[in-house]
Amino acid sequence: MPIGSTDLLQGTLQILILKALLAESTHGYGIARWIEHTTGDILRVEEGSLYPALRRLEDKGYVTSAWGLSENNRRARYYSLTAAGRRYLREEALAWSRFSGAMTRVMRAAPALT
Amino acid sequence: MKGWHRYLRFFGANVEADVQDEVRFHLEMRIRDYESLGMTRTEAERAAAERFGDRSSVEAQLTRHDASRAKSAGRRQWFDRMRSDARLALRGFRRTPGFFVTAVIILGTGIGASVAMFAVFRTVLVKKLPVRDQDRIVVMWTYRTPGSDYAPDPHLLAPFRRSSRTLSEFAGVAHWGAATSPFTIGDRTFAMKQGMVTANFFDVLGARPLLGSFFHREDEEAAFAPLGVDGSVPRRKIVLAYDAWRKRLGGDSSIVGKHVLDPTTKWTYTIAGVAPPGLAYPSGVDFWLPMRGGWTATTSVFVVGRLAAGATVAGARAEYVTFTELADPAYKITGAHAATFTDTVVGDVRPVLGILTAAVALLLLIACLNVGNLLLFRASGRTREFAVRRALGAQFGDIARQLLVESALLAVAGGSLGLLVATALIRNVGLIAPHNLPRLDEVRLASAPLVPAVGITTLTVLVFGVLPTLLIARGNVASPLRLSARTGQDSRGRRLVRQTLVASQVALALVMLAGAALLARSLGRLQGDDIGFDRQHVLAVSFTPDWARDTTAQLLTQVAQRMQRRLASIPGVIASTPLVVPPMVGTGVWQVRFTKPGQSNDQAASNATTSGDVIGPGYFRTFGIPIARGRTFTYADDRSAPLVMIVNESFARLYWPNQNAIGKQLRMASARETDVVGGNGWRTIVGIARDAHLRVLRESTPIAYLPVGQGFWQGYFALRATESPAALTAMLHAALSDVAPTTQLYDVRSMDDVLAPSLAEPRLGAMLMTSFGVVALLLAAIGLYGVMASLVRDQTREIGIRIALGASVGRVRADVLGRAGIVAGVGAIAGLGGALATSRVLSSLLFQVSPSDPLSLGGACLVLLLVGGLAAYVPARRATRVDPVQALRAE
Repeated sequence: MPIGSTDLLQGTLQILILKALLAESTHGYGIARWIEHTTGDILRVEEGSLYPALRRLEDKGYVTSAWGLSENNRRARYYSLTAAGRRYLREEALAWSRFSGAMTRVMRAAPALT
Repeated sequence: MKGWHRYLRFFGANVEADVQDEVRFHLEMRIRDYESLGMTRTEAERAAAERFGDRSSVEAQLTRHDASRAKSAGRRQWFDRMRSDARLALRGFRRTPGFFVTAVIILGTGIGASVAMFAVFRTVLVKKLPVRDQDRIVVMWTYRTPGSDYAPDPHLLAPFRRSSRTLSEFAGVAHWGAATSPFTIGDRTFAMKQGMVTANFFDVLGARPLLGSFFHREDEEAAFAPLGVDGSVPRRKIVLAYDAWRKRLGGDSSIVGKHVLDPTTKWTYTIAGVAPPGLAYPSGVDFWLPMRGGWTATTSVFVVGRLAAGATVAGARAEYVTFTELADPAYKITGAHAATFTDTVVGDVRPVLGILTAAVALLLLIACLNVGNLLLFRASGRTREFAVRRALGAQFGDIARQLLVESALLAVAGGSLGLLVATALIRNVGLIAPHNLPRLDEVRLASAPLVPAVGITTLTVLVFGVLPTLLIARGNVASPLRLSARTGQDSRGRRLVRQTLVASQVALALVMLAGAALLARSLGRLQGDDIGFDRQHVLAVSFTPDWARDTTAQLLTQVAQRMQRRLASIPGVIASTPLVVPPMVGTGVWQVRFTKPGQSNDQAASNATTSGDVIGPGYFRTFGIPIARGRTFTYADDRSAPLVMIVNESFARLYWPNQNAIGKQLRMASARETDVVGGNGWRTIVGIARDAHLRVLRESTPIAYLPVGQGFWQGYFALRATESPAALTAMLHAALSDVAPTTQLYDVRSMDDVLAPSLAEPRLGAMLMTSFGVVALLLAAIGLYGVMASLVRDQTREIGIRIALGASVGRVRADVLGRAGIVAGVGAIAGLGGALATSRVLSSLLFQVSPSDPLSLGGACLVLLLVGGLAAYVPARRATRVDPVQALRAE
């Protein structure tokens, strides 16, 4: 069952976007598709909220955008990761793996759930 | 580089459309994907919209965000672009410092000179005087012939004060203007110019004292009485002019109440107050004295009156003339001078200031043409640069903007330098300006010229920024690239424009040079022999006689004669003479009216008044004035001998036209023996002297000379001496202690010093005009050089081919010079025409020089063509140095 975007923490969405852009520069839909594919559609983003998040990232200097041509020759706005965005993503990824490791340990701790 | 970078949008992006595009793209992609999963179009659309969320709210949010970002980005971009343009321009200037420095200097000189001149012009001509309603004050005097005043006394005018309908009130100013006399303050003695006015003078003007107070009615009485009834010394008052107070007396604010002493009369005056700056009427006055006797005085006065409501200057003049005619028909006046106070105070400097201002405007125009030409030259050298940039995608606007930034930088630099130049000029204007230029001490940079400076700078920016841009824009972008490797070809049309600009500069420079030459020639005549006497080695000496001891004319003349005999024994003194009227005092003082035999008093009253002087035997030798007929005076012409006189040629023509004046007789009907030795006795004319410009520099006046033994003396001497004034002073002191120990030496001045005030204005005019002319000539030469240099540069290949084909070096050079000659010649002809057409405005300033004086105009032409030839010779020489092999290989 997919997790609704309302449940998705703000910071989590940003990390998803940055991670998507780490793979390649792409448009908003490309980011949505990447998240969909990568998470097996479990983290279902309300796609409209991607764009304000992208603007916020752009304002912080983690992402830049420019108009270009899409794979089907349509005019589309392409986003790419900046060096600062890459640094930020690295820090956040570290925090995440610590957090998720801690959570995993919590879940594995006795008594086990049945 | 990825393909989509070509689609980078700069500014002017439509934010809202972009946001909608982005969202629509997203939705369409999602719909396409859903359709490929097998949904129908409608299902896919609904699912995509649902998955996207609140589309309109997202779009609104994004549009708001992007719009505000675009705005700040646009601003940042504009600054960035300006900065980079400015950097680019500065780099360009650093690469060609010669161009930059030349342009800035040209602009700075032009702007600086015009701003400074404007400040002088505005202060002297336009600025407010420290009086109430200055244009409602009228200054009038009656005359028989215009230029020679002939005004009634206050006692005649007193009834007019009550009856006048055109003047609400008026004051009298003694007709001699500002007369110099010695004054002692503390232990220092100065020559100060005094003006005598009725006590209500300052009230009529509506002036307020800077310190102390002005005159009251009783001051007129005090000035009149030698001693009070009880034997006490009356309180005689003076009011100091601002300039005299500041410069002569150090601006001492505790000066009110202090005393000054007139060493000739031994009278003491109390300083009542100090007048505000800018009020120095009559012109150049150092202090004012109340009219002795006020409205009962018998001194000719000018009227300074306040116009009644509704009255005009012309109306006041008519009433004044009518009144004077009725009051005393014997005056036989023919008219009256009448002008507002403003016009009177600034009147006589207006022509010279106007012409200098026109000269500055011309100079500025030449500077503008020159910088424009420089910029054109630079622009043509960059045609290729711009063509390449445009081919690489730079917009026309980008290039135009860069040119504008360059011009703005130039204009700012030129304007700043101009302000510096103007400040320096204004600070030093006192050093070069004529002494009699009124209100010169008030000239300040702050008094307005900032506005024209900004205007001129802006104009320069526009003209120089836009003109080359337009010319570039006209050029076909591709054509310069097709032209082999040659850079910076002047197009034929552009060269014509530049040559026209240079020709105009040459023409304007010639107009200025011709004006300068005319003024210089006129000054030369004023300074040379054309004034009728030889000023070289002549000294003006003034003594302070012992008035207490030598109380009569006879005693005084005896001192003068002893002195002259003693001076003759001083080595280095070639000739000497006592005299009464020092040179250049004007025609207002020492005017005498003579009676011819058989004339009644009434008939004699219509005789002209003429200048009179009392002189010693050495007078004509001292001044180098030839005797035309008859004899000069000798020591024998004294009290016991028959009364004689000498007149000059103008006098003889005036009294006895077409007759021999020798042997004719005249007398001064009202003269008393105590005032003039010989009194009113008949005096026989024994000699006729040549005319000389003794009273005023620009003309000779009729003069009658009496011998000192049959006249009087009050302290003046003139000496022709080979020694300097300093060296003579000691000898004069020694001579004094021998023959008149109680007489004091007051002042020794060279004739050059005496003439300096009269010459100051023509000197200023000639000097400024000459410097303007030289600058203009230089600028025109720079322009000519620039055009010729670029011509040679452009034709390097042709010249190379010609030389390779055997053309002689001389031929090539002559060819370049010939082209320069055409440009300069066309300019010179136009300039000559302009000079002939405009030099007439100079005629009021010229002395014995015609406005179309061929020597001045021809000389100006010659100088211009010589300098032009020099400017063209350098590039012509360079043309002959062209190495044909290299010239062809360079292609």
